[in-house]
Amino acid sequence: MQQGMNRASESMQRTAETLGDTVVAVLDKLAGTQSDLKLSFQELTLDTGVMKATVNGAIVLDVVMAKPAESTSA
Amino acid sequence: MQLTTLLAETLKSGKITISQNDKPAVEVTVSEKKIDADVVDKDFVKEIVATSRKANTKKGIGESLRRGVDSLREARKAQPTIKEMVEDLCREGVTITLSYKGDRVVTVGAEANSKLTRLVTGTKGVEINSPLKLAEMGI
Repeated sequence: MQQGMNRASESMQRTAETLGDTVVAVLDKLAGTQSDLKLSFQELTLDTGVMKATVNGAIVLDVVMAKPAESTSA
Repeated sequence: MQLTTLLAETLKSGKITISQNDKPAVEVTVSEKKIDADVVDKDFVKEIVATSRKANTKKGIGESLRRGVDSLREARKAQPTIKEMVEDLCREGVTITLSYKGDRVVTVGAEANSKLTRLVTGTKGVEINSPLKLAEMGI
């Protein structure tokens, strides 16, 4: 049982890491091309078991590359 | 339950459209235990796949070779995880499909039944419906 739980947690960790790496790479790419990403939700119903929600609307990710701060010497 | 199955079970119905610069790229349609990601703009997917592959790239020939060996090792290591994830989707009756302009390209989960991909993945839960379109998308 413990072994099964360890395997499940390892698998979840690996999925989250891969997902994170991909999101970072995509955001980096978007920042470089100065493009935005829009997620539009139409009657999206979520049910977590505890609560139920319907989502309508949009999220716009406008990613810009931050300029490195200039160092000032005294 | 795996993270992917949990996410698929949480989404009940509806539609998500992902657009880049006001140009629709991917349309995700969710219905009871079915998720279909329809690629409208293949360049967007190609770019994401290429970017995520480059995510851990280091420069130099030696590094490239090492990365190649590491990729193979990672693929072998990831195989049981993928198998587990797919079998969990099958168990829960969840199907995830990837389509290109309405035509089904890959089926993962309960509705998949592949004999050929089974030899590679070790599970019948991954079915490649159109290898040509899959290659076209750069996956």
